[in-house]
Amino acid sequence: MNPKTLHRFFRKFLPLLIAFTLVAGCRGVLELEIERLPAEPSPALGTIAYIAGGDVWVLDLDSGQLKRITRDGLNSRPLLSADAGWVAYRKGDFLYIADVRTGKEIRVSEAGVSSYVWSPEGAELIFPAWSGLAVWDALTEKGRQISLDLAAIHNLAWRPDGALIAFDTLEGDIRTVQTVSADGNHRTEVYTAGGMMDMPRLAGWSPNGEWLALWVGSRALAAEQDGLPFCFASVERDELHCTGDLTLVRPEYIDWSAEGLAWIAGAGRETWVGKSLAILPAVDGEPQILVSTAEQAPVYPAWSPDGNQIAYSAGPPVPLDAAYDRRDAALHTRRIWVINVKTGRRTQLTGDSRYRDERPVWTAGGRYILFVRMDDQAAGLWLMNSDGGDLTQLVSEMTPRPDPTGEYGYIAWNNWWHWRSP
Amino acid sequence: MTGEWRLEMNPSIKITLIFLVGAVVAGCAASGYAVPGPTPTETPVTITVDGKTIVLVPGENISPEIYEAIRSPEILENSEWILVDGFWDLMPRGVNAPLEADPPTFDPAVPPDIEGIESWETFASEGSGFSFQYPSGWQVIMKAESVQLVAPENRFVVRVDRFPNPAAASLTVWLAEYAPVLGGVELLSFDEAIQGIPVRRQQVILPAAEAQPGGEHAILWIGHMYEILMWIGWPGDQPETIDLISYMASTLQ
Repeated sequence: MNPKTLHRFFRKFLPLLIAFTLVAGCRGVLELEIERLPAEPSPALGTIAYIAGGDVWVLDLDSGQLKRITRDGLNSRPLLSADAGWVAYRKGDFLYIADVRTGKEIRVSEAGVSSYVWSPEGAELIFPAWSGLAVWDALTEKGRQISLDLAAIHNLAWRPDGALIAFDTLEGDIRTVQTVSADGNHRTEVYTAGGMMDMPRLAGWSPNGEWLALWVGSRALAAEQDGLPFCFASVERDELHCTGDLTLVRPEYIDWSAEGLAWIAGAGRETWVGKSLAILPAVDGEPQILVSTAEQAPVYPAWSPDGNQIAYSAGPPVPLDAAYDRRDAALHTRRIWVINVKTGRRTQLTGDSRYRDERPVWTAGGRYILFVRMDDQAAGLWLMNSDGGDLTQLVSEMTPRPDPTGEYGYIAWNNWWHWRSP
Repeated sequence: MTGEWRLEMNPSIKITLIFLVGAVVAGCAASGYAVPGPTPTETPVTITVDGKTIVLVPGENISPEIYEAIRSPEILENSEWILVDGFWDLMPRGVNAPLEADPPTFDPAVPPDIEGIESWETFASEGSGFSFQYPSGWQVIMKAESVQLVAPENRFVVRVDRFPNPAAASLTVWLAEYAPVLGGVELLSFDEAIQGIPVRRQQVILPAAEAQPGGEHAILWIGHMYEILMWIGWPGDQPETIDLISYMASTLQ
């Protein structure tokens, strides 16, 4: 065998030779260990706080653990902190918080409170108090005060990065929208009404924290009930854009994601008449109608986490001249739908004629949809796959039972439940 | 499929039928019942448009409402005929269709400057549940479901008609679902807002009736609590009338 052939032989069979040597060394036993790759973790579902029998209950959707927080039947509007470790709620008019793990309850307001929000990070709860804002740190159980010298503060909203707090306030007859830094040191007027006809009501922040959404219009209740122009005020510049359409002053009819704003457009207090689902990719762009008034009567829009779809609840379109004749049927036939934003293709996800389905929210990274189901007896919370399959009841009862008619077909579900994503 | 046909009948059946018909007629005459006969025909209403005479037939070439309205000489005097979708309709003379609303000149914060109106006072009554401002010196006539205000020498007449709105429906929905038929000829109708509150304005030619002079009227609909109020002002073709009812409605409380 010439050296070249020998070299080729060793190069080809050397690994086999080594293997045989090892087997021989192991006395004929070759142990192979197969390592299983870790399975992709299932996205967590989060936590729900809800009101049943006037008490606050907290359900961890991932562990299934249910805790009753209060026992006096006097509570409403639960709001979970960012990590779902605390829940804030109203007991009568006063504001309380409770530690979800221990159930320890603390009254944090000295007067009635109607607006309160948790910080995006940590566990600081802000609410109007003492002519300014009170900030309650649930971790340290201590409060601090942001003095603003403003008597009436409404509609608080914490910027997504936690740096600024926006609110609207009434000074004399003029309402303004302002921001204040979380430490209370910097305060800015973002929008000031020129008169009684352009009074602002704060709706919330854009996801990038550059814009504030607000309704701007007459202070008259009759005007507000039938919808106001919907506008965007820049936080950095003196810039205001309005959609031109009247929009109902219902915070749950607006959902803002990185893909743009989705909202229910259309004037008239009757939520089942003449409403459309619109999106606005940029505040200075042109609105695009996804669901027209002739097609459906949509409510409660919710962007999917990937920004490709919007879930919403909708009943059939109802003509103006049959609005009250068909009201109950229109409300009862609200179902959960999703629409693909790019193709416009609509898919009905629920269709059980015994129930009215409302207020969908996406959970577990878009894998599931959580929503409210009402029948003649009760309102509950249900979970389904995002394609409508595997319907599961999570909460059988939210009571005091909401009036099915609500405010012209609108039920402020945040008075009954709050879901916090993990 | 078409074709001629006739009913073949046995002569004895014919005689029996004639007898029965005769008996019924005689019986009715004896008991005082009138045998239904052909309705007395009205003189057909004709109009002349571009030299052509047209016979108006309700439901065929004119709506029954317009047909009824043209009985009023005021309406006919002030209008011209136009054909819309095969139906004859009325338009005010001297105006080209389609009518467009003038931009509102009215400032609700300031009482309109109208000659002869120096001051304003408050109308309020326990039964009505609302109050508003009206020109001093005007005659106020209260009725169960309306309030009428008349300027000296009948220069202006304003009436506020009240309609129940138990569901507090929005104005647009209420008008679509429950609005009363006013009759007359609608010249103009559009929605706007006074101080942000939705209103509907109309210009309508109405026949004269009790508590209502004939001719063009300015109408403003507005919702108030659990009622819808219709402000109807005459003469409606004068801008002062529109300003008057707008200001009065804007002071509604």
